[in-house]
Amino acid sequence: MILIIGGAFQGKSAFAKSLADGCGGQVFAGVHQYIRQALLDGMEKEEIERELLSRAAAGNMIFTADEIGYGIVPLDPFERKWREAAGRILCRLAAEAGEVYRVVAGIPQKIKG
Amino acid sequence: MFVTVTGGSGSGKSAYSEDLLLRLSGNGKRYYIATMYPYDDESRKRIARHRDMRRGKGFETVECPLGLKEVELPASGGEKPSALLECMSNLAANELYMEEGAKDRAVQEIFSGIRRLAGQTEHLVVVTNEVFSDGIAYEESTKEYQRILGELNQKLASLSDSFVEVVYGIPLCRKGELL
Repeated sequence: MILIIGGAFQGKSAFAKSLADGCGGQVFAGVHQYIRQALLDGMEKEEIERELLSRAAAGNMIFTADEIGYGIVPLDPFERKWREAAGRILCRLAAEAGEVYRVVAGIPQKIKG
Repeated sequence: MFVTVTGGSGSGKSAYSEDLLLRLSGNGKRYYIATMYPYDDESRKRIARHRDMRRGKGFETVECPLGLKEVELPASGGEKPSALLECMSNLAANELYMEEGAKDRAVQEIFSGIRRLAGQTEHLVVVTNEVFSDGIAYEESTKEYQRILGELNQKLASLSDSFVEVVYGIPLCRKGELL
């Protein structure tokens, strides 16, 4: 599994697509949004993590996620819960990933693998 | 050795920092300088989570929500102890917003505390936080907080032997080398 992270609008999806074209992988874009929606649907963090890990185990997956959590701690409790859950789950996905890339201004930097 | 560790929220910087200090300090005495003030249920839960993470790792905890300069970590048998200070974002907020805080002298007060700690320890790991990149225009008092923490982070970086950014559990070296 490959994980691509970075700020919003940095070219993560385009990079994911170029990797997928090369290796025939499948792109799952916006893991952070998936986590947010799952929390809104009432799922627990652990449940969401298991779900994503089982998708990752399906093979040849390329995940992308916005690197949230680089700002002031939000006042809204749900916003705090979301970024905390996204951080923990992405730590776990990064640990499982064979390669992790961080994309800044369209330039991917391999930080693992 | 003096290492500063930064990262976003939930990035795994605490786990990395604990592990780093354990490795650096070996069999030496270890202190954990805790800065979070337990003002509500959520902060109490966070404190409990961090205590669980540290359990069995041989840290003696020193509570320091304010006044870092006053912390004394005595040497024993001629050997200096090591310390993990977590984290600057709490300390800066407490000094800026709490009634007894240093207010507009927060940067000087905290940083002279850091210098004293560095002098008292064999190995010092300081955890800080990235709170600068969500692009939201905050009110003046929050901007002041960002300015103070940003200034502290730059001072920490210049004093540190190594400066590490942890990204989802992956350490990226910004100064010095990964230890």
